[in-house]
Amino acid sequence: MQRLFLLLALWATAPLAQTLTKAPTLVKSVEPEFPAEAMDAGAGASVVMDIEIGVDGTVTAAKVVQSAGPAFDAAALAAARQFVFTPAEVDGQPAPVRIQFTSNFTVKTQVVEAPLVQDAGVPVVNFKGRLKASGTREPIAAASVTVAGVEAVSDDQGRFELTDVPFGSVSVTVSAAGFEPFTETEEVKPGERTEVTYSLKRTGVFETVVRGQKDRREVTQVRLTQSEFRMVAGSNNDAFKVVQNLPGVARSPFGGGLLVVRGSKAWDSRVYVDEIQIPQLFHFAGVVSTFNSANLEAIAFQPGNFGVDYGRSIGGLITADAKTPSKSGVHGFVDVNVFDVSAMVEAPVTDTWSVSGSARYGLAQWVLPAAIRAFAPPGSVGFGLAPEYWDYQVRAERKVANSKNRLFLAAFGSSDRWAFLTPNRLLDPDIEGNTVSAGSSTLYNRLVFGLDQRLGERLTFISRNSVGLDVNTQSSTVQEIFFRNTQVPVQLRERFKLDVPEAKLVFNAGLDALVTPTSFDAQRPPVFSPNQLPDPYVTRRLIAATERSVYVEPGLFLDATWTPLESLQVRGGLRMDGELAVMKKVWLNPRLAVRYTPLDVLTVKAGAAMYQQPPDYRTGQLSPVFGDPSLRPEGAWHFMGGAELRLFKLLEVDLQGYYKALFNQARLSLASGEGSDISIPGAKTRYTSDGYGRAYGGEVLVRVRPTKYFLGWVSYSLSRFERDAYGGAQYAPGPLDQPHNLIVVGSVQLPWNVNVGARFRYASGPLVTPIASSLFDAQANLYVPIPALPWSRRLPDFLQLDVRVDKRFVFENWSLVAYLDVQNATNRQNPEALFYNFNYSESAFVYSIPILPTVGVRGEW
Amino acid sequence: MRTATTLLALTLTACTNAKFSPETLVKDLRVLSIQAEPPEVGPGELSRLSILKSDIPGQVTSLIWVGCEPDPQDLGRSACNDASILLRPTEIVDYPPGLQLLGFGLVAQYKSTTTVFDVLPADSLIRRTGSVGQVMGLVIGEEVDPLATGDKLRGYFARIEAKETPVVVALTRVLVSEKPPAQRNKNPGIVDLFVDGARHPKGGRIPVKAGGQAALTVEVPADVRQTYIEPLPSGDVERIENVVGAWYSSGGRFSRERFDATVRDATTFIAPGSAEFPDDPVPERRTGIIWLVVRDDRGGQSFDRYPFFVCDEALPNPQVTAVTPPTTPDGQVVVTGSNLSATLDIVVGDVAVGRGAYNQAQDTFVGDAPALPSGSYPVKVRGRNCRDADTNLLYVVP
Repeated sequence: MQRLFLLLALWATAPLAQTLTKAPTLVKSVEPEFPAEAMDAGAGASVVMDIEIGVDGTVTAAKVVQSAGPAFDAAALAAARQFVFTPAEVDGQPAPVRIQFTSNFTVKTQVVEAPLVQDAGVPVVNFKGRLKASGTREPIAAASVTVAGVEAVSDDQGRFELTDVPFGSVSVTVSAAGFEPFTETEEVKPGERTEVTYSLKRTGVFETVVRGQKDRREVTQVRLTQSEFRMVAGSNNDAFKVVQNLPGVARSPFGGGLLVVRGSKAWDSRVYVDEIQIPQLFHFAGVVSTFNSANLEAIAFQPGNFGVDYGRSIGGLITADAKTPSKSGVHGFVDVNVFDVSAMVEAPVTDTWSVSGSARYGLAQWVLPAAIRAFAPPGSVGFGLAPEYWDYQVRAERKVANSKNRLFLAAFGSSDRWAFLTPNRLLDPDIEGNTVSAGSSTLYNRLVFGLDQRLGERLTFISRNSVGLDVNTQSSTVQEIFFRNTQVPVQLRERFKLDVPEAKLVFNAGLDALVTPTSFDAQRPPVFSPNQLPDPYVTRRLIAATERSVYVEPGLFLDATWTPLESLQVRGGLRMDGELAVMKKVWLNPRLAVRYTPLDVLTVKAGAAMYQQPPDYRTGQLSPVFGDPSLRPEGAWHFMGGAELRLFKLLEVDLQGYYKALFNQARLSLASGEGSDISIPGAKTRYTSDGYGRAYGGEVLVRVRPTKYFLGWVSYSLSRFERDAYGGAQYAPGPLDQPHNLIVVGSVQLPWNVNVGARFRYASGPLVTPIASSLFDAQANLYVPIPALPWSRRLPDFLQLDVRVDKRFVFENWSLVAYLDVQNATNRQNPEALFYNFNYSESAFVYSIPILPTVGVRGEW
Repeated sequence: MRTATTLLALTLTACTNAKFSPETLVKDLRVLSIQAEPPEVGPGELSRLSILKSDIPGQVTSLIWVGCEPDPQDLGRSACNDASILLRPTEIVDYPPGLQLLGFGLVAQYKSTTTVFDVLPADSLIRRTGSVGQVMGLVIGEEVDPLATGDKLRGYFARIEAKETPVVVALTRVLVSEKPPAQRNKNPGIVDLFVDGARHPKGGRIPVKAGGQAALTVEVPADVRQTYIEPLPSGDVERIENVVGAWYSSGGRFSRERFDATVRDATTFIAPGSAEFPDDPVPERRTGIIWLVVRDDRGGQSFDRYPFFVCDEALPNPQVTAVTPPTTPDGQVVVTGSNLSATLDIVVGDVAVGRGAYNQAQDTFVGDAPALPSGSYPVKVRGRNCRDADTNLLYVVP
């Protein structure tokens, strides 16, 4: 009698860049009453409606957008207002959405071919089944199943039931948004219940991205979901590497893992997963990140002007949300490529608990030595310990369906170890044992407890707590030189969110504390100043230090988001940070951001904020022996203004201009040949807080709204980064000043489950420090380069095209993806650095990676 | 991560098209060694500085020596340790604290103050391990007036700074410590050079065929590797020096640039004129120099130079009929015979007649008397055609 179709996907009712992460599912369907006056006519009809669904899944409004006459319209609306859906989620949070819904009225002819065994007059379920997606076995909800004219809609577990299906050979038709139409013939026998399971093929790999309503409070944020970061060429399915393709991030030399945000050094930018800081983002040489992206739901990047809920950093911010483990059966994958092998499995344990676990082990320890043997000159470089890395993530989460409350326990960690061997320049390569080594070992682990708890209609408590173990060891050249840093960081984040709708205010306040007991063991030569010629005698006079410190960094924040008008949002807050044990300093940072949406398609925004962080104590900058405990906190002012445009429901454009002023930057002291620092004792001769700098520029991000068949964006950054120069200039280019950085990313879903993607990058050439002259060290028998003004020569521009092809083979219960990811597909020679002869009188380019194909296969179930 | 990226860059040095001349090939003004004798001194004691540099025919060069006081507190205040001084060498004649001009010429002397360690406690480790006095040798491509002062002296450095005159700057260090003399470092010595297994006559030239190979072996004193104590934070460690030799030449190639001088392995010298290196033809006068520097890894070094001659095999064999010792202390050895213009060296015992040359006017071969103890020594003639011959003559040193 009734035939329902969810015809189209949903569309945005809110600002740009928000993503429907869970579609609403019809859980209570009310059959519209066929108008009596129309029954006689024997004609059917269809009524198309817009239905607004509230955060609790109930229908808050419905209106007809395509009428079938007053009687049909009234019947359809009456039924629709009684529908109940599962709440939709936008960016992981329940949110109101609007959908388009068609109610079909058909006249059903009663056909009875055989007497039913069941008692007459009592409906009997004699046909039931389950719908799942081919390959992933994900249940398909809200699908329409028609069997011999009898119809049903699948629930959120993909289940459906039909009553009183006529006996005999019947035709089954299944329609579901995002899947190919499905037909089958089944035999229905008297006295038996026919049970079926159907696997439907998807029509595209990209999820339909729907922008839902949610508080949009950040002014610089770009958010990417799984469907967007999985298909970017040159990124190896890695969400964090995809961030390197966004505005504000400089190109990393040699395609490595540096995250240089608006020119800032790596220590200035922080990465959090579930609000827990990740101490090391990438494995060896930036091949892949240390947190497997398969565990992520979405990732957000803010190159600046982030809110007060995050601190202790003066650069950019990456926050990622871990995925809730599957609640719909056992799923997982195994992935093997030339760099690593990884696997993941996730499963529900009870109705509320589900678990996941994943691990990765690097293959570089075999691949890289082979590559070096094949391509590097004999004896030029080797490994004492080939790069060996692994990481793991496990998670147990309790979450009741349709509830905002959840708690989880998670553990994750990573390890990297390697040691390079190079010939000792002072000896002949043939001499046994004539090598010097540089080794590194980095280990981190985190045990996390998280809780989201609604404490009432207005108040939400969010808690993220972790304890970790980090061990970082560096050794070089000779055995006696080493650096070992062991930390047990304890992070406590407790925050409350309070809605005060009558005042149109949302308050966000909390504690964000980091306590880091640290054991620092080092044996190394005194720190040399940048303008000082290395002295082998002083080098040999090693200094040993063992320091036990506890860095105590309390953080308190309070902000308010005021929405006096639907189109205006003002967010302001204060954050207090400090380091109480070593620096014994506290600082207060104000931050303000404004968003104004005068038109549905236009939002203008602006922000001003102050940021401060302790100097990099992991490397000993606050050490009384190797650094200076009296250094001031490094600081930055961020100013930005911009606009967001949505054009033709197809394009999203984000324009920003920014200015960042750096102050109190820790930097090595200059040696003075004029004796001026004779009276400056100890630490001041090693580090000062006198460094300063600035970054400014404009950024554009044009995103095509992802569809089933295409995703892509164009990112352009016009930026300058300048630091205080040792050569006497007030400002000089910083090491990763890249005025132009253009990235075009696109991925197309083709027939036969083939996906093709490409990434093109144009960037200004890298900066190098020219060598003005050289000095012959007659004792060491080598030439010491005498640098000119730092970073004052720019090498030719960088151009690279990466290509990725995925072919998915779908089987009933699993799928196999074979992929080829080719970096630098045109094998262009991009200068990356300069390589000098023995006395620096001649130079040649060192080029970036040549064509680098990565082949892999991935089995998913 | 920065380290990893740097090392990756190192790995990717394979991704360069660079083909540079070998470090051993000396075609322009170069300093190859500076020897401080002794390399370690006590406060206020003298060390004699000498330099090994390449000589470019037709180019005038002069030497300026600059020294700095040791920096026992590691304050980085030594001007000689400040790279900016090298970018603005006129600052040298502003005489920053602790800097002084040591002199001009091939040799100079360095001496620290006697009070250099007075700023340190009496039990300071640095008194025992020492602190370095840095010395810069500036070789400039013009004639320098040793008596220059004021603006005239500043003018030399101004032209260096403006790159109007070529300059090569070399750095060495004299270690100043309160160690007993017996524990101080000594320069490694060079005893002998062997060419193709035969002892090379002192003062002689190495005959090589065009593009031909010669096996060079170096003999150093048996006790060249000194034992010393290195204080580490974990305690004193006894170590033995490494002694490394390095080859240079004005033409030709070496099979290796550096070698363990305590191992008698031969280095192959490939003479100019080989088909393998067409950019390295036989020199116009068929002569060249091989330089050898031997260094220990505590700052000691010694050097020697060996002229080589690329033979002309078409020349006749020289015939020697008589070798007449000098009759006066300043006199010369006179060699008579035939085809003497084809003589490369006259070797008396294991020593070549010094600065030997053909005297066309008298059709003789003359040279300085070899420094030999009293006795009778066989005389051998070495031809410019790479053929040696015994003369069956004896040279008698009274």
